Amino acid sequence: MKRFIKSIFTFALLLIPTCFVYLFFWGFVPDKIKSNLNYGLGSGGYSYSRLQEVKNFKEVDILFLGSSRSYRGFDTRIFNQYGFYSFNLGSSSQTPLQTKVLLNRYLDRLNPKLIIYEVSPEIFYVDGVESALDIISNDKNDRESIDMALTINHIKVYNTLCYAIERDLLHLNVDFHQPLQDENDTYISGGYVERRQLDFSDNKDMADVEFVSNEKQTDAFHEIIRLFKRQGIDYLLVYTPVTDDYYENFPDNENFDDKMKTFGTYYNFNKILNLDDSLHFYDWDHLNQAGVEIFNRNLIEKIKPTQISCEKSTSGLPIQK
Amino acid sequence: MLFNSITFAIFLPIVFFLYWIVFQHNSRWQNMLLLMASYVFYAWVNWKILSLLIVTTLVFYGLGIAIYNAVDTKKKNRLNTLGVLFGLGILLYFKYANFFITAFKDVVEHIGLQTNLHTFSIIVPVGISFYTFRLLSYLIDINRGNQKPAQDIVAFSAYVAFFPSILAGPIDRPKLLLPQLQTKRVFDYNLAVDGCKQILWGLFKKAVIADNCAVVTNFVFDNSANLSGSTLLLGAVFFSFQMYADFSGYSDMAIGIAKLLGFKITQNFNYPLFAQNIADFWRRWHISLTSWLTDYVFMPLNIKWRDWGKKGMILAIIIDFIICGLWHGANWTFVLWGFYHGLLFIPIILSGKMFKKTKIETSKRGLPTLKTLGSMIFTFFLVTFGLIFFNSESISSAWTFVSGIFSSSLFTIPSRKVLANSLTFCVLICVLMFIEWSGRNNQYAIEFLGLRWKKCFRWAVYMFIIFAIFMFVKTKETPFIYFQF
Repeated sequence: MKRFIKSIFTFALLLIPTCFVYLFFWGFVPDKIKSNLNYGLGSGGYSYSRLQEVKNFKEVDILFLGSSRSYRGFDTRIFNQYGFYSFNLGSSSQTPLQTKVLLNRYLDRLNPKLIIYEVSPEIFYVDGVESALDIISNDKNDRESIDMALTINHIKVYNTLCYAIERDLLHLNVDFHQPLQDENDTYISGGYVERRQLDFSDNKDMADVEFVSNEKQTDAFHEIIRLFKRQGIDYLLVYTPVTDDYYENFPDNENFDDKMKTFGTYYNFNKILNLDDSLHFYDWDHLNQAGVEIFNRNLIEKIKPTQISCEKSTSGLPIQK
Repeated sequence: MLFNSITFAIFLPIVFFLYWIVFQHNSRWQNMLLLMASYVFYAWVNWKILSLLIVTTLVFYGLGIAIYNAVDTKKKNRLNTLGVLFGLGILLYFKYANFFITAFKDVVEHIGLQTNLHTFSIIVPVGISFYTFRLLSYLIDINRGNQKPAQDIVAFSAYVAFFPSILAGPIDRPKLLLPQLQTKRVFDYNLAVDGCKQILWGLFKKAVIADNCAVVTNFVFDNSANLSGSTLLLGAVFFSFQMYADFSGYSDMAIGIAKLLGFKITQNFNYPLFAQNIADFWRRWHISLTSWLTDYVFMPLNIKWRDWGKKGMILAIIIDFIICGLWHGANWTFVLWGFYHGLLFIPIILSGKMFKKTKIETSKRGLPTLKTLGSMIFTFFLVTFGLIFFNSESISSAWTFVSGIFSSSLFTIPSRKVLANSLTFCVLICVLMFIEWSGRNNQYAIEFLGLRWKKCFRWAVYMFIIFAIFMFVKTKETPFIYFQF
């Protein structure tokens, strides 16, 4: 019996380092086969570039948070034109769980006067796996990442986090450089991603969302709002414009509006603006540059009367390390 | 409680610790622990159904002793009939009552009459088909004089509720498991290690192969009306692998857990994917059920109708397989599936190869010969065709599936969604087939894998299997297919 228990313990002890070795080699396997390992360094939404750049920014006027609708919807260049020094910390499919992680990492440094937080009903339904993988793959990993993984409790997140930590420890990403432009998109300093496509293409499937509220997301959202209040930071909750079909896809937009209003100043731009699906969007839920221009200028009109004034703005070039 | 759940991963070490360390020197206490653990395990699914298991166990315990003590053969037979009727009655009520009521209602209404019959709201106790068959064999064997009744009620109850196999088998015969429960057990290092390996291999098959194939097969079977023939065929093939990996994976885990506790239970699978005809397949697939049905249904019928020659044997095998189908569930699809398998036996019976064991012929390189490979592939597709009925909700949906396959769209490229997932599964299935082929002469494929290697290399292989499970497992626990039976 002693021999058996000893063997089991030895096996268990050796299992962890051995799995890390396997994990390293597994990283070279084609993505299609890596079912539970989704390490996307330099993936589509320019999270890598954004999370590298954020380390050079501090004391901003406006900080944008949210999903791809944030980093593709709030053009920091337009805000700069109005004297608002801003940074867009959106990330692909960002949910409150990831927003919380990013705030804990960068809020003190960025110290924004105003936070514009892109919200939609979706963020309260999804599990947050996709966005967690994006953040884990493209940013440094610390205690926050581990907490996030434990909260989400998904095998893909655990595996990817282990692999990411391994890469961090082996300094495998040191030489990585993400091109700031690809076939469709250009990364703009400050976190915004510009899509050159002007016409609407509906080849992407409409979001296949299961409308079951995710308590973890709701709790994280409450924590975020509490954090804003505790730190005395002004914030706006913004439901960015999406196409009509996409908007109608969600069953209870009215309730969502009512709920958001209880958290603070909230704008649903699907009711404020009357954009044209074919002229102002490039897919179901993302504005093209023409749409972004209209939306951003309209938003700026709304935030002008707030406490952020051009005089107070620290607009200028990013502070280099 | 599922074997592939976190709860079970906590439950098993606790039971193991108490069983081998706390109660090591007292087999009666070990049995008591096994019984309690089995009841907790069973009640975890639904505590309301535990009372049925306890009552049924007590009734069969009493009947077993009564049959054995009865001097008169007639009395023995009467008690045996009573017990069999009681066991089948419970099974019929809980599992088939609504099926027969609906069928009766359909017939009556078809001939233009009205009925006030209503179906019942019944919870089907999990594992009922398995433990009822276990109890029936106990009683029949005592009546036949092949088995002595258990005197120790704790040991007998532990045999009936034995947690590794209560939910989905193997259906252990009393003569195999009861004596082991009635003797003192000594911890056997090699048996325990063997058990761990078998659990690992079972988990690999379930988590890596079966659950991943399910992604495609669920989609294909749910949307069979709208998919091309080629997609349906691909889905059906994947389902065969899923079914095998799921059920044999479960059985390996059950046998492995039993080994950890010092028991050797029935081997349930013997590489059915390498079967060369349908009789060979059934000697390799769900062995404990096949042998049970052979002993208690087919053989008695075959003996009764022996004067009819091959016709009698054909009739016996068709009835045997219809019962086999019905055993799986109260649905006409299972009846048809059983009937189909019965029909497949006709050419084998007519050619006189019914009881002839088939040997796998290999080339010098250790690969199957072309003839053998052809027979294997042919048998695989025969089985796959039957599984379409097995996995369909109704005969009409099975028919839609089958007619979809045999349409002109069979020669088109399969659905993009299915193809996108197929590459990974094909790789995984190839890995499975390679390992299974290499280890086909053993009880389970990795039983002797690397035994001649240095320990570190052997362990590295086991660790890679664990690593592969982490890389492919689904986050949500997926129940085993045979739990529903």
